[in-house]
Amino acid sequence: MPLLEINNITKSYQDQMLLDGISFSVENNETVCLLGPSGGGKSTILRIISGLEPAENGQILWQGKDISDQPAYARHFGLMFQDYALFPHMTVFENVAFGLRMQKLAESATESNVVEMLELVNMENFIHRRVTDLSGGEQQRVALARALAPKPHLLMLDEPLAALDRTLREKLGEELRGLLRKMKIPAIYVTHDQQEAFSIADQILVLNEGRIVQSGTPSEVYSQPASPWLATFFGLDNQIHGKIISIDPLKVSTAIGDFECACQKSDFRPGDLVILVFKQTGAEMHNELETKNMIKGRVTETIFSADRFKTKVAFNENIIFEFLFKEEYGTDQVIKIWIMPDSILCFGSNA
Amino acid sequence: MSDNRTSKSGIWLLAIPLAFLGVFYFFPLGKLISLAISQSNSLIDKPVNWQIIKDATGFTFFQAGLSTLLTILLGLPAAFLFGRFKFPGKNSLRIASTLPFILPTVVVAAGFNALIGPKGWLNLILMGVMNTTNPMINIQNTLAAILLAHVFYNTSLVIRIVGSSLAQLDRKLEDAAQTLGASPWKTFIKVTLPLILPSILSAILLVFLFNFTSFGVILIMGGPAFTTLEVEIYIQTMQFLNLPLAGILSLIQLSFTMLATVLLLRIGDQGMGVPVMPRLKQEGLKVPVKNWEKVFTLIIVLLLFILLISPILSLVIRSFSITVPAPDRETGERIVLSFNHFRDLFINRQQSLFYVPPIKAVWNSLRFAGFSAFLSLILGMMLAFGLRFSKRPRPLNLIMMLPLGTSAVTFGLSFFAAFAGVAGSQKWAGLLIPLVHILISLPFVLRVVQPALQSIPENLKFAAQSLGAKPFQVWRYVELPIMWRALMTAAVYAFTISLGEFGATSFLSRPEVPTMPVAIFRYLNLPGSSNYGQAMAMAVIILFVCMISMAFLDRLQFNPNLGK
Repeated sequence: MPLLEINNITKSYQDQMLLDGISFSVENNETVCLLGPSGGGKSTILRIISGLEPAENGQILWQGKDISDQPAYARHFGLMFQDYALFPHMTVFENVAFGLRMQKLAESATESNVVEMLELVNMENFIHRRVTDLSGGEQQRVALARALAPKPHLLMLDEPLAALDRTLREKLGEELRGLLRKMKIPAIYVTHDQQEAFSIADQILVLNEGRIVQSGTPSEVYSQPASPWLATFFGLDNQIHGKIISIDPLKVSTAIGDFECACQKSDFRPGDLVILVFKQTGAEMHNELETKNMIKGRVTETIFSADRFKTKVAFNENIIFEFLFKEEYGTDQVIKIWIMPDSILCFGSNA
Repeated sequence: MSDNRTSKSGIWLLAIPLAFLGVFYFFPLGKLISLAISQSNSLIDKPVNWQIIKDATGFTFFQAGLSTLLTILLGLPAAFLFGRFKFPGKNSLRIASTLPFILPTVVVAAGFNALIGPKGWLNLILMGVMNTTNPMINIQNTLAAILLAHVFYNTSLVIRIVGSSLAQLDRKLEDAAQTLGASPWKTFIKVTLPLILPSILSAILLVFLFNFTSFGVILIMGGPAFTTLEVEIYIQTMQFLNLPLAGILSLIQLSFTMLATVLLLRIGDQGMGVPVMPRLKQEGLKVPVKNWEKVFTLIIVLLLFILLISPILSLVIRSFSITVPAPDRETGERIVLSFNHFRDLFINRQQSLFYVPPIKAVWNSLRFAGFSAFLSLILGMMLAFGLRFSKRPRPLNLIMMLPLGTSAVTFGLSFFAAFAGVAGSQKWAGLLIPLVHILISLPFVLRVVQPALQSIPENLKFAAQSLGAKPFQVWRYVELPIMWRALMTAAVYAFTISLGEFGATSFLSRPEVPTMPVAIFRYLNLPGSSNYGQAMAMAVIILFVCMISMAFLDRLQFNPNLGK
């Protein structure tokens, strides 16, 4: 039996479906990541699980028991808010102690617990500071300590790093990951940032327009996006329409040539319209041994990025793809490249 | 170089309004104070004076405290309703609740008179039912009438201040408390209440200040039995010509109001602001679902509607109706629709109170209001722009706010004391009245204009300058267009303040130069249904102008922070 089970949750806002049948489960010690563009209803899922908002339909089961009618304060789930929601009229200590005091813990135990939590997030020196004097990163740590202090059964984090600048985001993201592993606390982590999701999640659920459009481990989700929309969401923008010429091997004709793809789907038939997605890393310089999947293009722009060159290649007037090459090419240079069959994704297209 | 020039023009901008305050605020006030102090010894020797001072001060505190308590008792639940719920009729109730902000005391007094006065609707109906000519209920000239009018006035204030801080409060803080195990009640006590406490305190203080300095309401609704400091000052001045005693009363009053004003500004400085979040309109407001929520909503909405709407409605209907003897009954009267009261405004009767037809009062009021709105806007703008250039704006700001802690009656008395020689002549009365109105409006104008000016990003100014705009051009083409809503709002406020001003005007008006509020007061105090009707008609004219102003303000969509 999963620890937490969400069953077919729906919710609408101003006559629009915000959540349209959300179901998933969280196992013990597992970090589940809800990934999706902003405004997709991710935060609402957290608010429903924590009991701050009712769902219109569906169930929330905790260890098999329906808790839909339980008020937020009785659920014992921790929630860390995107903008932290620290109590501005309380000190760091009082903020972290709040949940413990609500449990009527003895004051001495409260104190040692707060110190322990603040040590965990490296904020023990800030214990008597006003939260309004803290920087964004410091506030984030205090918010985490506050959410963890009452030892919640489940921790929910709503875009915990979104308000921080990039360097801090990477540093605190790493710390957060370590902390969740160490505390062995089941967590639901909401983010719009795929890097963040991939690095922290055991299981990723991609949410779009109120539905879960794909789920799986980070590598599953990234290597096999389930739709062109997901491919685009993961930054795979090299997309082109085509028509299936033959099955086995799967061969597709497009405006810029015919391509053989390694991807297998049983329900494709010759004549079907499809969308091909070329991964950025899936192109290599012309190799004399290869005869298939060769394509000629003109370099329009080269940008150095880490140890690769992000190279834009135009295949005709409208179709310009971006690839990562080890070598640098000059603008307007015409190059001949090979598209690896196992780096091409193929989706059925209704258009 | 450019810095020097701007600070110099800043001094010039400040010089004119400061001179104005010097001549028309500090000089008369100084005169009054010296008058009071110079004769204080001989005054205090007389036990009669002591008694007057003690009684007036005691009753002022008593009625202000009681009025504030009642206002809070109704206002806090109403604020909670407005800050947390959406319900049918909310918008019209919201608009109705802005009425007291601009309705002059005489109009409100006339409204309550039309509702529950001896010739008011309730009595007319009861008398018809009981077939008698004696008013059945008479709360006119009772403490209850005073309290009722004060609750009418100030409930909206509590709703406005506390309700908006509740509505703006970042709801996630309460959510956070709940996820940390706090029950709704605990959440309210530990999180919500501490965060909105400054706004509650400032509402209480403001309501108390208004009740403390209330003049028209006490004089008109309370009648001769009740004298607060304000009323006593008026009586000592106008009836006994005992200016020194009036001056001492004024000083006592002034010290309390100044204290309250400083406290208020303090709370305001410490950030009455609650932690806010940008929110969609109406986000976080819920529809009453539970039974107690429905009952609560219904009771509060009904109470507010009765309190806010019924006196206004009674006033309007009463102004269009006359009583005629009913032919079918021996006693009792019939009420018929008529425009007689409005027609009578144009007639200069022999036994009239004034030497001019009543319509002249309408013209005077409009004239004075226009003049003082224009001038206080000019002065307010000079102050706002000048203060921006000033290196140390804080003490200057405080000086500008001093008139805010000065009651209307004290203004009137100090003018009377300083310019007594000229106050008697008709020509000067026509000038002194709008001048005192400017003094009263100026702090309000400044509090609307100054934040609006400060909210203009300085980069816009720099951008305009870098594009070659001279200071005047920056003002004309950048700042003025951005600020015009605030300026219009300030002008409308100044206009309505002047239109309804009664306290100070009552010291300065001459029978040849009546204003509408003064005329209404006189008419209400006289017997005879014609006088009563004229009071009603004139009050409706002010009401009408105020409602137009309010509609105009609503169109402007500019919401000044009137934390005052």
